[in-house]
Amino acid sequence: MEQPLDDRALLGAAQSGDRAALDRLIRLHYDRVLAVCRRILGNESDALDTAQEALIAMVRGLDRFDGRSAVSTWAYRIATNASLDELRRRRRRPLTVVRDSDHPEVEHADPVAHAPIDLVGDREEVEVALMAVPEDFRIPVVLRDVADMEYADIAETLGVPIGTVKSRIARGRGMLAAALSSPPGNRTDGPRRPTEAS
Amino acid sequence: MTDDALSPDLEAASAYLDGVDDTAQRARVDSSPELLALVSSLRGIAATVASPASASADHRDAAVAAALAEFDRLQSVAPHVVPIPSRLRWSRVLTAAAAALIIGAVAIAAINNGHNDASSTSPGEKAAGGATQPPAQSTVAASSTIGAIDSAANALPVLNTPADLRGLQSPLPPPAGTTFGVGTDSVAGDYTGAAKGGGTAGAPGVASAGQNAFAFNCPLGAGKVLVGEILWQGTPAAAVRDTVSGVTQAIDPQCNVLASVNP
Repeated sequence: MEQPLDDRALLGAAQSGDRAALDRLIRLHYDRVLAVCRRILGNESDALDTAQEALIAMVRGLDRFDGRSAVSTWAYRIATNASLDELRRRRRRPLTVVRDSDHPEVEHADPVAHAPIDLVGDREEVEVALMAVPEDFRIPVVLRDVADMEYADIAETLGVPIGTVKSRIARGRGMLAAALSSPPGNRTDGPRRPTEAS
Repeated sequence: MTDDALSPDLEAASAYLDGVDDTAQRARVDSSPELLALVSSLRGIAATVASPASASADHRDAAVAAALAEFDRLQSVAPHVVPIPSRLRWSRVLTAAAAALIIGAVAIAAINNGHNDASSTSPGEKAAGGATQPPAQSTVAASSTIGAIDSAANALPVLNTPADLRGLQSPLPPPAGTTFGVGTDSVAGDYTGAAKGGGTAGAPGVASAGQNAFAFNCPLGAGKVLVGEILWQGTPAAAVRDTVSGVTQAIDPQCNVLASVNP
C-alpha cells in the first residue's frame, strides 16, 4: 500500500531512534486511533486508556514493522487489537451499572462514558445506535468506516474470510440504519454484556 | 441474527458504497433508484460514524507522553540495534571469512595428506626418517591454518616425514609470493633473518658456493642440486639432493641440516 510521504519518512526516522519523528508520527494518528477505540468500546474512559495502550504498543512494535502496509493500517490494527483485549477484560470484570434517567435504554459501566464531552446531536445518536450493534458486526463497520481499512486488512485483523467481512459490514450498516430510523424509544436495548447485572 | 439473513439489496448497496462490487452488481444498483437511495443512506451513516470527535489536547499529550516514555525506556535498556542492512553486510563479511578459513584448512590438509600418502609406500622409509622427526610435528603446519593463508612461507610444500622429503620431485615450482631463484646468484627469498656469510656449520660436506646458490648463502657442494623451498616440520628450509648418492636433505636458513634421508 502506498504510504503518505510524511508517514514513510517519519516512520524511518523513528525506527532509527529519532524521538521527535516518533512524537510527530503518533500525534498524526492519535485522533483516529482514539476514534477506533471509542467506536469499538463505546466508553470514553476505556477508549482513552486503550488508545494510550495502543500508542505504547506501536512504540514497542516499531522495530518489527516492515512498512509493507500503511502506517495508518498498522496503527488501527494495533488500536483494534487493544480494543478487543479491553472488551475481553471487560467481560471478565464485574460491572457497576449506572442507570441514566434521561436515557433509560442505555446502561453505562462507567459514568464518564456518558459524559458527552464533545458528542452532540447526531453523533451521540450514532454512538448509542452503534453500541447496540453486536460486536461481530460493529467492529468490521468501525474498521471500514472509521479506520478506512480495506476488506483484506479487516479480514486479516479479525481472522475471518473477506466474504464474511463483506457480509458483516453490510449487516452492521443495516442494523445501524434500522436503529437510527426507528423512534428513540425503540432504537436500542443498549449494549449487551455477559456480566451485566439485571 | 445471522449472516444468512442478509438482504441482497443491503449487501449490494454496502458493496457499492465500498467499491467492492462487480460490474453486474454495480449496474444493478445504478439502475435502481431504491438501491441508490439505500446507498445514499448508508453513506450518510458511514460518514457520521467516521467523523471522530477530536481528542482533547490534554488527553493527546498524556497519551503521547506515555508512548515517548516507553520509547525512552526501550532506548535506555536495549543494546544498540544495528540496522538491518549493516547486519547483513557484517554477516556477509563473516561468512566470507569463515569460508576462506575452511578452504585454507582443507587445502593445507590436502597437501599434507598428499605427502603423507607418498610416505607410506615404502617400509624402508620409516627406518630412514625415524630418527629425525617426532610424530607430533606432523600437525604443526596444518594446525596453523589462519596464519598460513597469506604467508608466503606457509605456501611452501609442507613436509613432515622423511618419506615426504624422499618423495620430493625436483624441481619444485616456486611458492606463491616468493622469488625463488634456483640457479641464480641474486635470490630474493623470503627467508628473512637468514644467516649471511656462507656459514657451513651444519653442512660440512657442502663445499663451494656459486652453483645453485641459495638465498641464505649456504653453498652447495658439487653434484648437489636444490630441489626447492619447503616447510620442514614447520621450519622454512631448502631441500637439497645429491645427484650421485641420491641423499636428500632439508637445510634451514642457518645452514643446519634438519633431516637427511637416503633414496
